[in-house]
Amino acid sequence: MIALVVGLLGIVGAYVGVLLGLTSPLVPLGMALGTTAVLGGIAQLAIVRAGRETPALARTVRWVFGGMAVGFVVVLLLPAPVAGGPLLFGLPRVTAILLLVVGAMPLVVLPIAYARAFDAEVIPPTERRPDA
Amino acid sequence: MREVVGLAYFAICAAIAVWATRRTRTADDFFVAGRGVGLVPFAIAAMASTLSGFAFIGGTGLVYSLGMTAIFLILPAGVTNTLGAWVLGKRMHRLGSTRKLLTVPDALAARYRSPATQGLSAVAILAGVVGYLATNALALGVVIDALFATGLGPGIWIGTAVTLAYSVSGGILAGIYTDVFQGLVMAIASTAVFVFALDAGGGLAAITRTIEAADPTLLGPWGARGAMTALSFFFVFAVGSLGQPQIAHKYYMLCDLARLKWYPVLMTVAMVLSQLLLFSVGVTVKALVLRGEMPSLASPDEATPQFLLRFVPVVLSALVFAGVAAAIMSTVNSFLSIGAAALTHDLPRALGREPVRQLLIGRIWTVVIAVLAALLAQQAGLLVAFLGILGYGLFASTLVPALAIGLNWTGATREGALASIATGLTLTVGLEWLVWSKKLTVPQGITVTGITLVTSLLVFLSVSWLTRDHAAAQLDPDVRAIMLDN
Repeated sequence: MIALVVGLLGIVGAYVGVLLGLTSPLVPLGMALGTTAVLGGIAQLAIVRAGRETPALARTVRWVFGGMAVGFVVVLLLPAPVAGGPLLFGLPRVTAILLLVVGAMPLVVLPIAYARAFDAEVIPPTERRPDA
Repeated sequence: MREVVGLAYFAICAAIAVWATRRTRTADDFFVAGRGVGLVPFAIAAMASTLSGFAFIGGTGLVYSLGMTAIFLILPAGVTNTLGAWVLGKRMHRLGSTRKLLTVPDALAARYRSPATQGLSAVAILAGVVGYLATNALALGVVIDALFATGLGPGIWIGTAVTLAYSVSGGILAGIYTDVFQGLVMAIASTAVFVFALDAGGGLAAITRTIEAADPTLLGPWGARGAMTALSFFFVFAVGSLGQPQIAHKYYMLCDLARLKWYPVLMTVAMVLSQLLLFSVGVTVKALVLRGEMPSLASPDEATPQFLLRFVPVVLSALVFAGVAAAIMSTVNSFLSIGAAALTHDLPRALGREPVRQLLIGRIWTVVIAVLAALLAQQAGLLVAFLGILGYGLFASTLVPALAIGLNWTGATREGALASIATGLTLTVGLEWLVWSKKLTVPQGITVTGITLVTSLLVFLSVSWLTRDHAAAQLDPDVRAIMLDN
């Protein structure tokens, strides 16, 4: 819940920065970190079972959303690509890094982590009632 | 050839609809597919109803004009496919089977013990549904006109009639199984065109070199509109996806909760395949135009049609047109079902009346909503443009707080839910209207949906905190047990 609230305040701060015409790199940084904190906060809320955190899913949330936040920060701090610069997978290197960390990494990790943790932490066989 | 493929496509949809209609006997069949849908149809139908014609036409145009900025509309799919199952899947399914729920507002009424929450959320859903349906009816008219040269007006009516035929007879049950066929058409068409697009452009590296020589920002990490716009898109489409009722209410339909295990994997594969066209055609056409191998486009939305005409075999281009029709029709069917359920089921319940003869009345409302949407779609360019903008933002700002957070946080209160839904509804309609009528300009880097979503979330959290003493009393024991996995 703290991550969710802090994330939302980060987004509000970024929007206020845009409305005030600020050009500081802190503005998109607030938006990036705010967004990943909101997503991580919502995911964290959903993996609490009977008041307790489920360990494998909690680790996944921390690594995936933490990794996405780091990816956003790194790409925001790196210089913009120039014509003729190095390519990675056919795209400018910085763009490819962003797509890999923010797009491909959660795309692969989250569904597999969910499936792996499903029987132990999402719906254990003992909870599979006929009506559910 | 296009006409033959088009007719074959519509014939297969009709055959599936006839099969499904024979199995539609109760309101449960009509609104939640008899709660008997297996994993594969469930995942493909969720993908098909998530993607509208935007993935094939509008999205490609945005990639053509904004470059990487537009990719942030689909990049959240890496997170949202799993997050939906994670945050909503188990709780929605269990609430649905325990309480025999039919709609998303039903879940809100059960969660907060509040008919008012059900009524207000149904109003928000109806407003969004009419907007989505009008724009999709218009888009379907454009596709049918392109396939059969019917003219736009008759195209809208023909498309509406075909979709209505299976929606009104077989409800969401027919919708789910036509979605499976339509989803497969979308995925196959998109994957095949991806191969042709990269080949026509000489490979991704050659495409990149051409584009960056003209404008290095287009394929830079944030695209033409910069980091704030890209990140705003990411926020809106990642968090907002949790409030889309056409997906949330499908969790009621799954035959067995254990099937949810592989849903994110399957949904992710289907989604990735179906969106390959969006990126590849957008950047390839940009590079071909810059090299002088294609004439400049009259409008960015011409990117896909022009590419298909020049670089793709006729059979495949016909399949893509069928794919566009499929994407639109599957979305329309889902929204018709949700809209009809709001009028048949949610609003009477909110007003204290138990719904009666839901199958018959649901069919009647399905016809009424579809005809209304087709009539609105005839006003192309005016009201439709405004309505089209409304849908996603309305669902996100009204449903994410009360539904996605509320089902996972026992501290949420009825007052918080009502305040956030009212805030999302009034702020979205008000701000979008002001922006659309050019009475308000939103600076680059901010989206109206971003503002309304963050505001309604903060209203939900703060009002719930202020009224936290009511939280425990507003939670029925069975709902509490579902939320806490006890």
